Amino acid sequence: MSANGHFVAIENVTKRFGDLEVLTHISLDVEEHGVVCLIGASGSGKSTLLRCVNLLERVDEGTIVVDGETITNGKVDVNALRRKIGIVFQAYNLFPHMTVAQNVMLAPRKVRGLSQSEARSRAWGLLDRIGLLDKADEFPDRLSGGQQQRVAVARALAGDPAILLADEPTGNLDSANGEAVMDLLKELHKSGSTICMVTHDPR
Amino acid sequence: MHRVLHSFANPFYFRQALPDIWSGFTINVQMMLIAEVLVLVFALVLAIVRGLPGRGAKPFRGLAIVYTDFFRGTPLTLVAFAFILGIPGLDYPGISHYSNEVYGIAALTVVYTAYVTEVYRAGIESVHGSQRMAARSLGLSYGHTMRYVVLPQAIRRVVPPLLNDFIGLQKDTAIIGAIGVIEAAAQANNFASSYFNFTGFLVAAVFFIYLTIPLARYTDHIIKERELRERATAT
Repeated sequence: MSANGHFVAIENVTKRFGDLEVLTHISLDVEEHGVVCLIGASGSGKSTLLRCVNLLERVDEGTIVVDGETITNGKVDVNALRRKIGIVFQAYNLFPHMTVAQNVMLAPRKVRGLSQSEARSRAWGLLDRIGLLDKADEFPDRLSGGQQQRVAVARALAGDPAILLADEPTGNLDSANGEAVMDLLKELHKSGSTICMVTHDPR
Repeated sequence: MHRVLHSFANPFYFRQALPDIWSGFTINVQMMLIAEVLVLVFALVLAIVRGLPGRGAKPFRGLAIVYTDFFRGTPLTLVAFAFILGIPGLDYPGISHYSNEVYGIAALTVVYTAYVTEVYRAGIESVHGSQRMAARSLGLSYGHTMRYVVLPQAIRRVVPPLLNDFIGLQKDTAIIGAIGVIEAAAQANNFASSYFNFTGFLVAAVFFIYLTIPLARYTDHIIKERELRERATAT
């Protein structure tokens, strides 16, 4: 926890892509166990802000503090930071050459160093939680968009992150599928997860 | 027309030439198989080096670029001459006393590695950036991201162009024959000078075609299968 009690503290952040200033002096705090939704017009830089938080993009000015650690001074261990942060993308970005179970097990195996059986039981627990245990051995292209997105949530959670970032998680989904994903995120929040989400979805 | 057939497709000479050219052809197959395995490995290493990020890797990236530019631009015939005639002449212990076949394989490997590096590289670049992003966001290192996420997808995609290059390599083993390895084309040439009949060339051609056609059909098959799968996914 940072000194001011926020899990993520974004202060005065500016980000430019060439001449285009995407973020101008943005400040935002996310409390532990809290949910923050970023809502705004397309192209207003919401996704960019999320990407700055786990250093997929570098900020040009300002500071971001995650879990008491300043991540914008260039000294932070990027991979260690990313282990604390799970991220869910609008287009799911599942790995198409791996089964659902392999997608979920990859980070526990290769990042956390869990054994095959530990990673497996962890993955099975998560797949059970998202209601897709029966799809464990299917490849992602056999799943509907909503199912894929739920797997993406499970994959992000498999690394046991302290915060979940979601970048328009329902942006590509029809209303029934979107609802299933939103229900899952609500349930995660109830069980204590910290979530920061970019969305156009009023649910 | 009769003279053409007599000269190039005479059944009598066909049978006559068959055994020698077949034994020469086994050398083509040998050179091709060894060179292909070496090319697959070396080219993958070079393609990975070419994609390494960061300033520290710049000299290595540069060397890889120089290599591919040089050997993609140089005709195989020149490289084969240089290796087969040049290296024994150096008289270095350890590298100058192998058979011409070994130098031929080395020439094929060196030249085709340059081509296949580009094929791999195209495959690596075709994997969408969002895949790397997803992998890195899970905390995977650059190496793990390449190994578990990018390369498996990249290699699957480039199988058809790889097979295509190998059909080329298979045929180019005959160039080595022109310089000093008694393989199928050289045997056919010997036959032609002994009998004043060119049917031996037809025999050699039949062998080469017999080897390339299955590869070509297999390539078609993979491409078709992939199209079907992609169409099923798009619905």
